[in-house]
Amino acid sequence: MNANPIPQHAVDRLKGLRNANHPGGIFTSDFSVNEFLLVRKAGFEPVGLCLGSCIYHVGIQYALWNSSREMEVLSQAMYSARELAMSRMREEAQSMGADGVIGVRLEVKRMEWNAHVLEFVAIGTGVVHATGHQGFKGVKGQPFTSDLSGQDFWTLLHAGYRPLEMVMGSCVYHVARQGALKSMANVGRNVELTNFSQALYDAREIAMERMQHEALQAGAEGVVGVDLHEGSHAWQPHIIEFFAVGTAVKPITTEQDASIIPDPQLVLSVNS
Amino acid sequence: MGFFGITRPDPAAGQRSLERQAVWQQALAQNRLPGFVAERLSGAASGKMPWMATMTPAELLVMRSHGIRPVATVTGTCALHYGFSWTRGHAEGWRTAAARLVEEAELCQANAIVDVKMRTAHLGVGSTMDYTLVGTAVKVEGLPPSTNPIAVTVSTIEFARLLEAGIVPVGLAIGAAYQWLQGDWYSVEGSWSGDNQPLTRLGEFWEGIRREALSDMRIDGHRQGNGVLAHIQFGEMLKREGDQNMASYLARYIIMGTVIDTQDRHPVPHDIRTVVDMRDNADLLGALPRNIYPTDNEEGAI
Repeated sequence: MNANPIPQHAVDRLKGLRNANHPGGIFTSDFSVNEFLLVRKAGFEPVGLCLGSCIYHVGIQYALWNSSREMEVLSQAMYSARELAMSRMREEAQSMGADGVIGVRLEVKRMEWNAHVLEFVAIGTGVVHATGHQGFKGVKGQPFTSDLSGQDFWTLLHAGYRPLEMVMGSCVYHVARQGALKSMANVGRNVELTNFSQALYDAREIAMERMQHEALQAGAEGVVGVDLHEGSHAWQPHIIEFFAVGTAVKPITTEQDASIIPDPQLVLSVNS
Repeated sequence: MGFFGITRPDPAAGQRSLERQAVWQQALAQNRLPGFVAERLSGAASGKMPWMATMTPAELLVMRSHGIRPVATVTGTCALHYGFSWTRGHAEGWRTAAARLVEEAELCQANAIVDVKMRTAHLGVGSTMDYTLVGTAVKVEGLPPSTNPIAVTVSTIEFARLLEAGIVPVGLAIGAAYQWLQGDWYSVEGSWSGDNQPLTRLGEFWEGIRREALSDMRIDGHRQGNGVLAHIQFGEMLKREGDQNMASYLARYIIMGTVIDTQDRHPVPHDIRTVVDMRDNADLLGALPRNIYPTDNEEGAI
């Protein structure tokens, strides 16, 4: 007799006896097997893949070649297009009764035929709490969103936090080309180009400030998994988008005492 | 939808950008940071604003259970034009970025900066490079704010692990080397021949640069502790063609690591268990120390 027999219902399912009458229908998810197991271990069940897409015409904004400034029209486009895709994904999650969406991937695709047209896609797996606990909902009772994987979701809950919302900040910045006269003065010298330094510094700073502001609005205690990207979406060479993204988190009920957080053991994985 | 209420270029926004730049200019000239940066950082330190961390939930878990708290994501940027010397310019750029990174950490009353990574934005302007360091400032419970918080390249999880094992991370060691090689490129690159052959001149040249940078880092590390771990690096070789088949090759290599202070044969306070790992993409090779720290083969991170 096998020590760990396959449960009867799983055997039945494999035989095709129950698949026609499964009460909750079927789910689809881009979870891996490990992710699925850990999400389940965390007390959640996937309900379905949620998707939001937005094809956006990004407006045009010119900057003088010698001036550094934020391209606020582009910042706004990049932000609202992502926000639209995210809110459509959230709506889909809500319509399927999900408590949240995890493993969200936020992607930007450029259309070959028009450099101003970008597609923004948000895809993630909607999950529900297995016993219907309502305390995991996000901001204003809406489904929470998070770019954390199933594994990270499990770990986050064990660290005493729950995800609230994916927060982001975008800043598209035009970095001035330095004036020719000024460049001449620099021949043969090592100098800090303060106009470049401050432009790049400021752009990252603005992106982070905006993300922090979003987290504050969401009532978060902090933002985990912060990532700073730079990208130039086929704009002129001196226009760069700085994009900050992360998952805003909040302590589960009141903050857990650190002593009850399990200390991870040192292990050596032997399966890879 | 966020805080944008505009759709057309807004003259006021342009004005605000200019004002912010003026503040930056004044601040950088006085070797300090603008008020709005201080506001974001001290807001996070006091708990009025949310904290921001590059760490994963696993790292958050370890931090919390070890009495360490994330405060804010901190950066240091310096764009440098090296008209005089690539060598000194390159080192100076990274060192200035590191100094600004530490300054931000001080503003948020942190004790350390973990997970320090190198980034660059390619401006496409000759003899110019943007040097940026990004990391997460952390506070250790029960410690007063440090006047000169240490910066380390190790991740948060490894930072806690080191402390737990009685190994003290004490700072950042930087090693850099830059060199020109002149020669006729046919002989340097072996172009006349269709044979397999090692390019000895170029190979020795590049190897020499790497060795020099490593030894530079070792010296820098020796001043601070007795080991340098967790290297992050950036290297590239450029070619400039000259007259009569002559060419100049510029190779530059910079390497940073976390300096540790540890006793000889100090015991590790944990048993090691073997397990089946539930992470995806848990690639054994990827877990080797030389590969976990980003190098220059990925876009964005260098």
